[in-house]
Amino acid sequence: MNRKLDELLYALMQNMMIAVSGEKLARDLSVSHSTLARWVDKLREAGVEIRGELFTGYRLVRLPDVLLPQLIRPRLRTTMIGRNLYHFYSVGSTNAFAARLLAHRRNVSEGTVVIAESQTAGRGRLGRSWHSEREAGLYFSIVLFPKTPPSLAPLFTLAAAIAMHSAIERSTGLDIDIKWPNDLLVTGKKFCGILSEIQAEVDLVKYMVIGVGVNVNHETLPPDIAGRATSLRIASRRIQSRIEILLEFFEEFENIYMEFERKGPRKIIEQWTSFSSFASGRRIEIHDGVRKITGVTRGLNALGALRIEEKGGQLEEVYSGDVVSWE
Amino acid sequence: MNFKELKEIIDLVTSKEEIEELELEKSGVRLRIKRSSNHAGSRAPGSVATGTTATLALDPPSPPPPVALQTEEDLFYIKSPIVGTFYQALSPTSEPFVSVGDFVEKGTVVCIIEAMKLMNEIESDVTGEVIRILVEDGQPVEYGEKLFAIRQR
Repeated sequence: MNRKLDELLYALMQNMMIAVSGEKLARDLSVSHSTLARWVDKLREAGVEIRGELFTGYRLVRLPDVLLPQLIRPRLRTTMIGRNLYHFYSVGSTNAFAARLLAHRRNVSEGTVVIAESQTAGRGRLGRSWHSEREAGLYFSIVLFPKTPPSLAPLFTLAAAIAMHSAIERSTGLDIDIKWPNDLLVTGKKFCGILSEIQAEVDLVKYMVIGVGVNVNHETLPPDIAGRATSLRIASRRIQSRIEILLEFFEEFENIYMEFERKGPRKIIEQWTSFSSFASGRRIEIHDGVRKITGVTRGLNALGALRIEEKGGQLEEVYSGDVVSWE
Repeated sequence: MNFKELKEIIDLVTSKEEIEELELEKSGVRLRIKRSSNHAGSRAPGSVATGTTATLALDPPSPPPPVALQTEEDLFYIKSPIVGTFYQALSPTSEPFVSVGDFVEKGTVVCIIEAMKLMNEIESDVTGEVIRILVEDGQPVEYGEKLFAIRQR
């Protein structure tokens, strides 16, 4: 269904200023007139502005900012990430769809990306939701089959944060920070979250899905999160290109991922440390589920855990938790 | 210290053989028993060979779980493949994946271990009954730490 809608939208985009006869569109897509009319309605529901009717012809009112595989594919600079794309106008959660793909299909290739214009059940940590506004954000998941032991897998989530950091700085010129482990901040507020899932045996990763949500062109955010969340548009006061950010990210992430597989995690630790103001000397409070730890950050250990020097001088290594306050 | 180790000590102390040396260190718990070598033949099968020393380095004091006595047989332990935080449910408000007494199949998701926002869904490697859950919800776990005891079917 989504693939058909993509084809229809792409056909309309190639004829931006003129109305394309419904007759011709139906013929090109080899569907009946009524099916075509139904698809046009679907696209309209998804926010694409289309004028006209079957007998007058259809015309796009403005170039929609939709992440069509037809637009992404010719511009990919990667060999693996994004080579296989699933695009949705709306989906529950891209991570959940990727997990379903992996459960039911045998030939899901590494680097497969599931991308959605909006999510109806975007997820965060501990069942928290992620606000996924249509056409305003980037919501995607990447499928990986890392050959590293499962104990090193969390480092790939740091790698995703590093790659997104570079991609955004390069394409927007904004000054981006990383809050441990993998939240991206601009002007001190969060605009990107990364939530990943893994299926592993004790010494083998079966698969990993890295889910990324970026607030790109949100004009405003819901009042309950506006105090701590922002978007790239709000921070830069201009509309940013989602596709540019996505393409930069794919390339950057693929490079880091392949280097990890070849040479190990050293570079990830180094880059994370140089990109994040939280890496060392920062007084923070972190909640790890049961404990509240307060202290000064002292870098990452080899597995990516955050070292915190507590008041008495003892060093804690934190593997999971929320940095709830910082100076 | 498990039941088998405890029983070995009791066997040693209560056996008719003479104890030549007994060394007991308390807080770190180190127990060393040496028996005389001239009572060969009167040993119960399975006890420690005469003339040798039985040294047991025990864990810091922890009360032996009473249930251990009947369940030590052939329980299967599901272990954590990564360091992280143990979660029994998808979110604080949802039902736990499994509870004690539940039957699980190979492949049933039993918990999530989270590290750096990487959610690791742990599946049971065996089919059987959940006898014990060894970690509390929200607690940090180590690599290879036992999470669930399963009596196999």
